[in-house]
Amino acid sequence: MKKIRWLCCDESGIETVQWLAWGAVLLILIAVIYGVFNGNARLRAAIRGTTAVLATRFGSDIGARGPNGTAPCLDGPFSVQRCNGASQISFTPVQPIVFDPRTQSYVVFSPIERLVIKPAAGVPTVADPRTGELLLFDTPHQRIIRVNLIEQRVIAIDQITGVATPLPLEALLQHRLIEIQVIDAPAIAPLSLATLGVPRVLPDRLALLAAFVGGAGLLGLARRGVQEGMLASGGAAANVPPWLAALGQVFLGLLIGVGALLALAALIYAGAALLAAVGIGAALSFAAALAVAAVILAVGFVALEFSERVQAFLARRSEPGVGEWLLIAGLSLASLSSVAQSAIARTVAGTARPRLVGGDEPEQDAVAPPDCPPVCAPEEIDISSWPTLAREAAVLGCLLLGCHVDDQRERIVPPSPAERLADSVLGMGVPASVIGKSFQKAGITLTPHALHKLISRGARGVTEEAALRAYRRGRLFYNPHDRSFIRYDPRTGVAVAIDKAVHGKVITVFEGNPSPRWVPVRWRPGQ
Amino acid sequence: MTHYLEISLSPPHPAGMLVPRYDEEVNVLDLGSGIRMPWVYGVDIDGTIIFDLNAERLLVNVEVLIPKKMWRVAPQTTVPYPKRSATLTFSERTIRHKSFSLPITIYTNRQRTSVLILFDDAMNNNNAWWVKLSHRCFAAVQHGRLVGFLAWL
Repeated sequence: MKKIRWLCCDESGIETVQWLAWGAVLLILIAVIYGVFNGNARLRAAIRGTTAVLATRFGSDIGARGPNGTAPCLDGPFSVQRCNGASQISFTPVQPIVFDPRTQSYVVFSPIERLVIKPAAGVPTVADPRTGELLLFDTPHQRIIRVNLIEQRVIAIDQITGVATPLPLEALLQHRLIEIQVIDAPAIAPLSLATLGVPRVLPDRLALLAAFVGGAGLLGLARRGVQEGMLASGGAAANVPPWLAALGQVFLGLLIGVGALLALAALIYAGAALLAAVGIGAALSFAAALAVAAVILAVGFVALEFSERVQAFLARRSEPGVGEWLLIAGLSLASLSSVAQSAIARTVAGTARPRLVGGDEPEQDAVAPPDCPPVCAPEEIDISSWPTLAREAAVLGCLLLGCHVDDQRERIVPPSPAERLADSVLGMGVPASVIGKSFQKAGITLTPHALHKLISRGARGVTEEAALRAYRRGRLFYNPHDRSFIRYDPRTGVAVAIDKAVHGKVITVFEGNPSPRWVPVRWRPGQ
Repeated sequence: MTHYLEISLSPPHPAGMLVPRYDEEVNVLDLGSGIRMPWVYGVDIDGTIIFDLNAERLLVNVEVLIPKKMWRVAPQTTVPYPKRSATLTFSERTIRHKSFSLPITIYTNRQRTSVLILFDDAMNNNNAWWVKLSHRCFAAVQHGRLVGFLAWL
């Protein structure tokens, strides 16, 4: 009891409490600083991100736009702009997705920024903390949307069909399925309680306020018994025991020393960050200038603009961005980025019509094709300067000669050797009006659709004679798929689809094997 | 023996730019480029969907014999976001196999202006990607298989 009275009422006791309070505060500060710089990855990431942001902003003063002001796919780091049919999410998270119960949102951290993804109210959402994947259950549209920021994919899975389709992110935003907020890492690390690793029980501001009020109250309680006008240090010097005064001096020294060390470390860190930013930024600017110069040399028309956006740098780092630059040039290589380079080279060089990709080229030249007739140009013809009337005439001419008019490349493409071979087999010179006469004579209705198929499929044995034979003598089946009847001739393999079992008109003709799904129709007398 | 349509993607070619056209007279849906050329190879699914290929095995025409009235109306139209534009090339093995027997499902919207054709096991897979054949026709491709089409009439 005497000790307690000494602590609360005696001046020296109060001074002791005050010193103990200061010591506790100092210890807490040291623990916090140690924890922040050694055990808190999030704060380290924020500081590192700040440096990265400074660096990228320093080097991002050059952007690029297409000939007609078309924005190339350069937006990043988290773009909602469609790039080549899919969203470009140049985003590398440093840790899997976390759920923030205060804001009912999901947060993804990257070295540069953090994304706050808030699903719309009423949209059930599940997050996988291991993969960082978000599953949005879009019930009205009967689909599940998988948002995978790590693999940079947004996929909608139709619950009816099961088909997955890649979605651009803006579609989700337009439908208000999610809201996304991109937050740059602040220049000064956010010293919230959550950042410091303190469990978030109260909101940050309330917790900070409570901590401040508690500390102030403790100090005020300690000072309450000190007489008016008496300095605490004087009182301490006069009344506290020597060991306590020595301890207090140690604490005071620590306080000043640690503070000075922290200030020095901060100065060094800021200096290093600035140096890094300047160095990286200068390198990026140089690289950007080189890249743009290369594109200008290669393409000849890329309008430049100067801005303070970060996007150019980030797009430059990724392959799609480069692809889009080439797309602007009209080379269309971006859309072919996954095609074998040899195929691209052949196509771009214009040495041949696009061929098959991969190692399974058909042995189409095994049979020597017939020579190109005199009217058939062996080389491609550039028709870009031709008037419209001449181009239309070329289309008509190609219909007769077998060549092709490539509108995109504005060239007349000659038929390939394989096509010429097929033409000779097919005998394309046979007038279409001749085909179908046998059906007409037999009083069988051959629809224009079936006639067209008969002409086009002649190369594979679907001749008028075979079709007529199938119609007359073929085995009758019922196709439950399309509720039509089929006459199939096993000798030629030609089938004729008809709308009625008896005296039906011919819908189409084809060749193949009878399907196990076809239902044989029993023969009945009179049919 | 294959039980699926094995394909590869080739660079876009005018002959492979399929555009849908529904023939009301015979109730047949055609996906074709309109370029006249011999259809040297043919592949069919139960005699209901017939694929026509040119001499280079490029898919140049698709004939769907299921009439419009038998298409199933789906409440939501699939909106494709294709990964790339391409022309489909059938493998030699698929051409040799020639006739396939696969489940076929066709969906449409209420206005019957869009048509989603699914075959193979597309109902159970989540990894099909859309390939743009033309501005009105897309193909669903999964691991080198052709599993469907989507077109706007």
